[in-house]
Amino acid sequence: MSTLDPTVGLGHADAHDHEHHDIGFVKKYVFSTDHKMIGMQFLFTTLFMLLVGGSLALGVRFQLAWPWRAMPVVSQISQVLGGPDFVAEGGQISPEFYTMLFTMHASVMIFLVIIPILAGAFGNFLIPLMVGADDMAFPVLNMLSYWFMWPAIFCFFMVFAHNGLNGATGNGWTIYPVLSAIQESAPGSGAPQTWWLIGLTFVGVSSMMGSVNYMTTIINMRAPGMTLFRMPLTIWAMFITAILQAFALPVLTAAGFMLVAERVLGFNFFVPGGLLVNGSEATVGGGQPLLWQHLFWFYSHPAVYIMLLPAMGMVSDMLAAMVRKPIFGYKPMVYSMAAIAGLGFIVWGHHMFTSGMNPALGMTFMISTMMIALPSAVKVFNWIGTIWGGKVQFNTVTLHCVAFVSMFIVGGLSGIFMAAVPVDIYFHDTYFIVAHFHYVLFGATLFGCFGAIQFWFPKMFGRSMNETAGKTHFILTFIGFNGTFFPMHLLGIAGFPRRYADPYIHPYMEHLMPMNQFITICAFVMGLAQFILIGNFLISIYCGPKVGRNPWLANGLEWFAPSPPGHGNFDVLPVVYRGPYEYSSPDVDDRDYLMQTDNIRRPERDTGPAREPADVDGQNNS
Amino acid sequence: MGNKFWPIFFIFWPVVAIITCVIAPAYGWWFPTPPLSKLGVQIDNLFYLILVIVTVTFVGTHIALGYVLWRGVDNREKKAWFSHGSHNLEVLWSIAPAGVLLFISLYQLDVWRQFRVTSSFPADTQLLAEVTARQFEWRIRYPKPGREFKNSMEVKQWLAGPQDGDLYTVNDLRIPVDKNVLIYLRSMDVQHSFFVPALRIKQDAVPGTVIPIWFGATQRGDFDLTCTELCGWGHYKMRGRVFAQTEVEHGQYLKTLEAEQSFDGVTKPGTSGAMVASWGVSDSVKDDD
Amino acid sequence: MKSQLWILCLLSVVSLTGCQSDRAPSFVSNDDIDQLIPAARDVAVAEVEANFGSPSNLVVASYLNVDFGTYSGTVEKVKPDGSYRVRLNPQSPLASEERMAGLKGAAVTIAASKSAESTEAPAASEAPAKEGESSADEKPQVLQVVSFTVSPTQDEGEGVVGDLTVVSTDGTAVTVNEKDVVTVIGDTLQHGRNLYLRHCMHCHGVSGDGAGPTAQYFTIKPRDYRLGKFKFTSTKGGVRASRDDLYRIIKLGIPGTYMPSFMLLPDSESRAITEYIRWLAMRGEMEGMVATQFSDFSVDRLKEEDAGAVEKEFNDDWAANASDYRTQIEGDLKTGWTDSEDEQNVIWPLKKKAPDADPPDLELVPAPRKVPTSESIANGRRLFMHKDIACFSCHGETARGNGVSTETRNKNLLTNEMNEKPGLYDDWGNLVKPRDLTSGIFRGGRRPIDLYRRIHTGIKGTPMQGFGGKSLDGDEIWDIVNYVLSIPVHGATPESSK
Repeated sequence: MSTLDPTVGLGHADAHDHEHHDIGFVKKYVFSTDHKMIGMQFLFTTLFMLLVGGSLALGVRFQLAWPWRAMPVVSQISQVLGGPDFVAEGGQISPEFYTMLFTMHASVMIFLVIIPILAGAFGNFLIPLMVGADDMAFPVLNMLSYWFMWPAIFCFFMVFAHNGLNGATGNGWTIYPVLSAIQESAPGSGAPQTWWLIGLTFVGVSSMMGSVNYMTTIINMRAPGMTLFRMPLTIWAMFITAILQAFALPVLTAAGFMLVAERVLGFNFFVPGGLLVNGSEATVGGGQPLLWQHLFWFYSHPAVYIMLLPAMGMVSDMLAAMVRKPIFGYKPMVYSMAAIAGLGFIVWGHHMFTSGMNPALGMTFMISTMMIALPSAVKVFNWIGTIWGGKVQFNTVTLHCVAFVSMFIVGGLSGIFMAAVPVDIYFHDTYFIVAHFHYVLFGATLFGCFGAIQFWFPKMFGRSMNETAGKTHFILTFIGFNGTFFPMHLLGIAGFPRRYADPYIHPYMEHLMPMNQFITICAFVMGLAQFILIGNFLISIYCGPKVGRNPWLANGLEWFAPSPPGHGNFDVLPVVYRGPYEYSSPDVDDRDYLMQTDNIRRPERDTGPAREPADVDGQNNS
Repeated sequence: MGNKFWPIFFIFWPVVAIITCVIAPAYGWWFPTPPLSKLGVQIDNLFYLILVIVTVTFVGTHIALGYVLWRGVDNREKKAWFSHGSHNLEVLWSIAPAGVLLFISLYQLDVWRQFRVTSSFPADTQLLAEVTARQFEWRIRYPKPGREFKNSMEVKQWLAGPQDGDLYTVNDLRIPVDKNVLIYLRSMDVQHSFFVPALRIKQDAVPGTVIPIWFGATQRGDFDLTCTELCGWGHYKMRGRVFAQTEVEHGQYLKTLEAEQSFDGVTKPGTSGAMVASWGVSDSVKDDD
Repeated sequence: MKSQLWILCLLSVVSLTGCQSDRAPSFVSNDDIDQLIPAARDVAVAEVEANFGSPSNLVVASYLNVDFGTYSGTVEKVKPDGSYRVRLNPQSPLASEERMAGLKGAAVTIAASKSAESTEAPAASEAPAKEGESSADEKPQVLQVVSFTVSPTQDEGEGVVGDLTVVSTDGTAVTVNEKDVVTVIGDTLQHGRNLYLRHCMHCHGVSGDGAGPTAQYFTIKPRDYRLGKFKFTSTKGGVRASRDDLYRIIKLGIPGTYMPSFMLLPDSESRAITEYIRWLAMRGEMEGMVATQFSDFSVDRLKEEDAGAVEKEFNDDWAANASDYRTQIEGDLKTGWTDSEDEQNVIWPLKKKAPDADPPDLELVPAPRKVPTSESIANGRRLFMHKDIACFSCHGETARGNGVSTETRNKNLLTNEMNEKPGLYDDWGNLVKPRDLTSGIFRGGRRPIDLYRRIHTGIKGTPMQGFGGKSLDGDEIWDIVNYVLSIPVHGATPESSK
């Protein structure tokens, strides 16, 4: 530790001596205020929800491949939840059940998996470690942000539990009024829709607590020497995400309250007069359905970047470590993320090109949408530039990062078709768009997350995950993923609309059934492959080989802490001397990494003994 | 080979993707029909323009990715290349895509204007019908045959509600071929979307709003009409069609429809009441068998 | 290693998808049957099943007036395992390989004509359809298809070749020789069944009870066919719906309800669905009739009486009267659903030739629609508000469907008891609203003849009664029709009547 300059005036380094006192099981594992535990709680929860959301997706796929064939296990689950058992129907599901499947698939995946796994799990775990803080700025708020997920999960469960699985919300995750505003308009537009909205509000509260915490922590609690432009890109991404979240979320929450008020209290925001829905009395009032779309997409388009930016940041960090090379164009990377976030607020209208809004808006939104492709392109070029000239080692993390870049290219490029208004006239609400956003949200974000799990797992549990299982999982997921979603582009071009329970009653889609069967088989392969990940994850927690502080020989502050870090994270307070990407620096001869905390003097290079992981291993495990 | 497996793997998949796209049209995984409207031709041209740009980018970036990976695993240097980036490159790859993207977006504007800006609708557009979407069908109302609208006030009055002599049908919109026709799209309950893949048109039907859309078919034929905005459990059931006929046929069709609709059981001998070919159904909906 | 994993994954996918494919839809008995004592319930269910089978095992009861659909083929070879190699007649419209594959496992009745000479297929296919009537002919053996597998090797010649396995329904030995003509009955019904399960079942239910999984969310309930009643018909009061009526509803839908239009289904498909719906209605009616016959043996009796005694009484009753019951039910079903196809029973506008002349000429002559002049409309309005016709009492003076009867408690038309909630109820026990005539939505069709029939015969099964014949003459009905048609355009109170 001789290379460190213990910072004068921050002398609570010895405070860590208290960390071993027993704080009790509940305080330690359940209502923990430790950001690492909260991050892991988020991680476990979201991985479980990933399986739930994935099963729902497989239900969707099953119906599309073998329409109206008896769907496995559905009747049993529905019966347990007090719904119809579909026995008289021979096990074939009902159309509203299908609408429930895709609605809840999207809702669970977006609100209970992707947003929490990025901001909740990785944000929580990484932010204090990477900025060199001992915890979040508001630990109790942080704990609450996790525990507010549970009311949300409960509400979403209530959505299911309504009349078994058959009466759940089936209005799509976008819940466009009038469908979602009038109880009679669809099965599941009654109480379940209200539950759904309440659940959404809880998710929002949880995210908002997280956002406040992240912003404060990043602004105020950085280690000495950690200037803004020495922050890892992960932290930049989390920071920008938190800002996005804080600005966009109130709009959705307000919109949600408006819809609840409309549904429950008889307000009138979204429903115009004179509608005859399902044989009920004509509606009265002067609402405007497009208002919801504007409010909803004002949040939900930035939310797309909330669901992407942290993964971009994490992939940047992982990629640099894996190719042993500084990130290519650090500042352009930061600026492009900021540009994405900024532009992200003025592109929401591209979800509404065919909605009948003023055509002049369509033109405006097209130009802004096209322009948001620019920072994304810059990022892609920079990632390729990062690999360029690096020493690539193909472990599971690298594979996921490269897959991230590759998939993000596809997802980004397919977006250009839909950004172009006239072409979007054709592609809007077809499977082309399904392919597009799955390439971005699954192909990019989830591959990034899988890589991040593998990458930071040693820091979380002090052990590393199995490489063979990791690679098997990767290759099955990658093949399954592309087999599932690439053909969907072609389905979209063939005019195959989204959200159809039985598209084959339309003659022009009849011939697409074999392709859907192929897609479904790929989806099942992909779904089953996730059990390899879960198994690898769970087994490695207990049986993985133990590792030291810095198994990847990476530069970030988190690798300076013990694995797993004890309470308060750092046994020696970190002081930052440089940015996080000084791989293969000529300043040191004996190693190709240079940690942010390494105080080497140039030009003498009197660095003392290089800190190998073995030197510090096991000293400070708590 | 060993350490080259993964670079090959990452080059291999784009190749498969491209091959899939190339063979796709042969298997029907492409546009269901060629564009059968003038606007559709323009939209398709824009699509292919973007497709070319995107394919070039896709191939280019993946070749670059494959190349750097290939070189990366081969890197026998002691250390990787210590570089924090290149300002010139950043400028280059910011400006080049910006130019392309700006070009794409400005190039698209005109087609959009033609399609949606009311004042740019073709002058010879003829008001044809009002299409009211409801769960889960398309209700169609034609003005009384021979009725002409002199000004927009009359159109407004017609749209306000049922008028004497209006003709009603469902799911089967007949248009004269080679004519620009205008329909007023509305919804009786929730949102729907009027999508005719062959004509490349799509427009949401928004409750409380009447949206004019124009289109024209350049070929006689029978085009599928589907709903592409989630409208409830029976969303998939909204099967309709747009049938482009010659003008003569269209006139005859409206006449038959009128006769059918004013059928009082007496004045039209030869029809046994409920069942008649005069719906104009049987002449075109052929048996699948 | 990886390839094994792949295979493992694929295998599990296949097993997941395949393992439950043999589950089949099933019919659900109606509530009245559920109320019977166990013995009676068993007999009732067995009776219905003997005549109608189950959705996956349709039984063709030849006495029913249903176009079951037939096609025929020739036995080419009797195979040692007891199955037959059959070549289907290529002229049979439905003998496509795809369709035949659907027969696999699904049993239908076949008739094998013994006469090897009668190779003329169309003639043979006629025979079984007439089976019920022409008992004088040699009665073909009635068999049950166990399986039909389309032959993998398509040898030369026309038509689809497949292996057929049959068993006899009545336990007699099956003897089929080469060159026998096999006639498969029930294809239309099966086709209808398949389409019904795809397009209709979610609302109308597998049994046609209007209680499919989706139906519970409807404000306006889907039709329960089991009463044999359909609302919008062209037939006289008390007569069932004709094929054409049902077909028209399928084609055009019922505007204002969740019944969508299936306009674009090919004709053959709509026809097949129509046939299957008629058949389902017959099945439901039979259930109802059996339940009525057994209504003395409800479970309520078991509360006071000894179960054994009631069961014995039932068994005696059944042993004594089974054949009578059967004959009666079969006769009712047959005549009921044959009458509905009779041209005589279709309503056409008629009026008295010269009722005002002296002496009045009361001969009925065709009544074309009156020109909708303002006088005619005003007269329609007058009749609408007339105290004997009293349209306004339900439809309201402003024709918005808010007449006074919608707010008073009425008698249940079936049980003659007062309803719990005020309003009007139909025979299915649903609260129904009188039509808001200003909306321009006419559920039973908007042609003048449709409205004429609504006013003449009423809407079956609902409080909308018929006024034709007794209260209103043809011309008066036309006045009301003219008035009703003018309401959406000109309002409920025409200028001239003020």
